[in-house]
Amino acid sequence: MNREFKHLCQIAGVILLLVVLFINARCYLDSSHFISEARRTSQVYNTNLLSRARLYKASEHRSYPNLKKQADLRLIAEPGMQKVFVLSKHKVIYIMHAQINVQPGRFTSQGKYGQQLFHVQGQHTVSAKNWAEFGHHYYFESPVSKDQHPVSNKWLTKPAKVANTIQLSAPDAKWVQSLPKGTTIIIR
Amino acid sequence: MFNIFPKSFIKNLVLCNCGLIIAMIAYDLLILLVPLIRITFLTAIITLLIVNIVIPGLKYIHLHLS
Repeated sequence: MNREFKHLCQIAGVILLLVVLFINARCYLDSSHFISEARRTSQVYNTNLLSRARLYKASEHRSYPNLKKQADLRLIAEPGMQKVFVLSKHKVIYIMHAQINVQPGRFTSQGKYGQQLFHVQGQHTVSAKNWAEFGHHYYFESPVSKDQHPVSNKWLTKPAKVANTIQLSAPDAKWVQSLPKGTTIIIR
Repeated sequence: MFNIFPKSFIKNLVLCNCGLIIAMIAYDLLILLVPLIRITFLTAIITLLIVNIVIPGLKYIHLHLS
């Protein structure tokens, strides 16, 4: 390695380090990227594992944690971020991409779930699968079709919105069916 | 550019860019273990741009103005 190349690498390394420091400091100090109920490090860790929102893919690049073994389990839905945070105590254990069509409030899961669900809204019909009920007739579900047309795989860009539902990807909705009865769900 | 800077410098700059890309890929793998913010594609491009402006700029000052 010649001297000039060594100097170039040092300068490039310092610039990269400054950029990394700047984006980390900026993101950690900006509270709009985070929810206040959980540690920021756990949110950053899970955000880094997020994959792109696809209807037939899990939201994160890892296996689902067992919901029945978690202490102080809560779900926080952020419509602005289009995400649902799964919290255990003050730690985010999973983040899901979601289309949230529920008014803000505090609900509990009912422990009821099933395979197929059909919604009729005026002249439109939406079919969904892997539903799980929370509150009084609110549902987690995965949209399948709208007016007989299959929902796009990039479903968050062209959502088939249904009132009183939180729409998730198919594997995520299936996982949410294992949510213990009485779990708190907070909609912002 | 080839007239302004020596050939060896251009070669070193290209190698330096390759090193930087490898460092950014390594960072992208590191974030799976350490809670650091992910570098987006845009940030990576901006970093490469800054490096490719700052380094030749410093070299130009060193060669022609000092």
